[in-house]
Amino acid sequence: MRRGLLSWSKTEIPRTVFDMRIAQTQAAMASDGIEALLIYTNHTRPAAVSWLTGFVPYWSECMLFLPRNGRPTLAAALSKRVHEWIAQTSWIEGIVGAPRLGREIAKLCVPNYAGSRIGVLEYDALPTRISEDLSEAGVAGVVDATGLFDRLRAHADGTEIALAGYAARIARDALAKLPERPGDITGAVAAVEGAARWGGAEEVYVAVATEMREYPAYFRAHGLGTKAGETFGVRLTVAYKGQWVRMSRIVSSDRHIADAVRRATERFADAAVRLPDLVTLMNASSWLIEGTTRSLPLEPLAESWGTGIPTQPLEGKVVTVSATFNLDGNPIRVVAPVIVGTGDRPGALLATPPL
Amino acid sequence: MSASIASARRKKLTAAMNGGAIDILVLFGNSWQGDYLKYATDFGLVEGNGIATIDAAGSITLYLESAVDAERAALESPDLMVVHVRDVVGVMLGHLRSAGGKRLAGAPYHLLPRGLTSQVTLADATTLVDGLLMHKTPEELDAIRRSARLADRAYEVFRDSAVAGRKQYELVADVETFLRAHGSPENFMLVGSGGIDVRGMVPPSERQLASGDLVTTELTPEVDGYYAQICRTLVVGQASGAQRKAFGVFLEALEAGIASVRPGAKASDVAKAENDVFRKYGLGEFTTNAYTRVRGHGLGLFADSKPHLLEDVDVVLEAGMSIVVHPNTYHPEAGYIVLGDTVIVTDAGAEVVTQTPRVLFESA
Repeated sequence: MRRGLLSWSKTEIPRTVFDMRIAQTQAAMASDGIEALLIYTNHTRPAAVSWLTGFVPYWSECMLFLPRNGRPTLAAALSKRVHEWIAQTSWIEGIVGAPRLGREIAKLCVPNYAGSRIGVLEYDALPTRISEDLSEAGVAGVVDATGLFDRLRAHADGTEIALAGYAARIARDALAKLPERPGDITGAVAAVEGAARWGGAEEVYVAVATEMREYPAYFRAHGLGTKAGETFGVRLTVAYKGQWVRMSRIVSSDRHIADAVRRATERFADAAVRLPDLVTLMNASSWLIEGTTRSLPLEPLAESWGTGIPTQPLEGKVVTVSATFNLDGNPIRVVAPVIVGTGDRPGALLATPPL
Repeated sequence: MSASIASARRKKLTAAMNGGAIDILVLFGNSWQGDYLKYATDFGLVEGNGIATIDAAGSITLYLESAVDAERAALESPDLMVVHVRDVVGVMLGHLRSAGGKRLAGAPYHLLPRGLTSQVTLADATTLVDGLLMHKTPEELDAIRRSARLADRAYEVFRDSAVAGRKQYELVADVETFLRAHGSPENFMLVGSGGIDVRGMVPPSERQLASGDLVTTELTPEVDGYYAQICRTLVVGQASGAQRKAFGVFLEALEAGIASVRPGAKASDVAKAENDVFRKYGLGEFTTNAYTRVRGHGLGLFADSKPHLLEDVDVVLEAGMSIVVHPNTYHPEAGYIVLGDTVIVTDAGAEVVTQTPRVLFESA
């Protein structure tokens, strides 16, 4: 609940980009026989609506109504006084106040789409009250449209790649501000978060691994007095104009471990650019690949402790890769965003984690 | 968070479950509305949805759809059984269907995934948990006092940072940096800057502060899981006569609202006391939902809890509740003005726990 800069840069995301995405979505709806698409959004689940409109919720909840032909409408449980702000920070023209989202959305569905298929992204996760209000108002023919969205977002477009690259650079530059001997870890967290926010981040989450040699896992260092160990890590999650990435930096005062960190980062880079081929990543003791396809900004797409098989093709996606390498007995966790290669374009790190 | 506070909460929750004939309680949460789940688990969600089940013995399993939140929960809440699952609804369905014959309930019911409530019969336990969230133990109230002290200090940072030429998001960056450095992991904060063109507060933009601007904020840091809120307004440079005169109405309204806080008073009484001041000055129109949302609200494990202070909310205030009283609204001669303090309801009336002076500050 602590957003940073929220604004629509028409230079970075021209209106034509949103027009293209809406057109692609409506074409997919036509292909699936869906006459209207409903997408729920809140602070936790902003990704799908922001991809289509630029709107990022900071509070409460909203629902986007997109007909197969025509312009979308946003039903917003936020106060009406905020509608002007929504219009300034996104391109949405149709905004309706809706203390009960389901009832307002039903007014759009029932008169024009009776007997039609109405798709809902992540239908099973839809809040009960919205679902019940839709049903009570007579909205029928609802189907899950998650697969439709997965197809739409199979490959990152140029705008996504550019914005993710900017987010990655905010993360890299903020991590570069990390004190080498911070003592109390909360000071280090504050320095990194402040730098990312001054860099224009829309959202910032910082997690720490206070002694990575003992346990390479990240948590939030709230409460004072948590000390940084000899080898500590900071993982920074940054959002910029709807694009989310993570990046880590590991700092060690032991030069042997610092060398292991350098080698782990090289191995990471080698594995990352070979994606979607996971073979090199298998050298890591554990790994996680996250990306955006639905409403969650960073959704697990594949992980070593699961099946290891991606839930969907990775080619051409912007993903964040997290991998732990055991070097000289030291577990070193490296995290960075990657644009996954395709048949005609090699993969690349969006920015290299600072050493 | 404090382990002793969490332990006490869990005991109250299981006692309430026993009293309410609930064998398994299903609690939903996310980074927006996380208080119901946090009441039982003491875990603050950052990414993804989470669902916790708690049985009558107090045993908790926490299902998280975010891999990184699951890793964090395993470290931060070692007393919980933490499960990372992509399909939280599907896994929960299996779990609850295997609990044959048990009495199941869920909260907050309206936010629970429909995939769950459409397949399994869950009683609505929202009101039961709301009661626990509103009525706090002395230890919970101490956490709110600590949060209020930090809110006061954070507002000092805000004042120092609010200079002409500064962009709104840079101002917020300074406050958030201070809060992280002082151990607060979360903060709900809105800002506004400008004149009579400004109708409310929103997340920060690139707008630069300018001389003569009213700069508003509500600042809500979390300490040990609990939120306190402060609302203040400052002027960049010297305040005008119109700004001072307008601010006087808000000061009178806040004082009237706080004076009405006592056990037995209703939420509507506090709202009416605030609004009556505006009506007295012919500004009653600006107490409606065209200009303002609520005249205050509860605070605790969430930054905007029940009860909402509105003239149609009849929740009775009791000792042990914590609320923010804020007659924030638009003034036609000055713009949007905010002024609010966190108070604890005591047997003697209101204990005001935010201490920043109630003045229209002037910034360099």
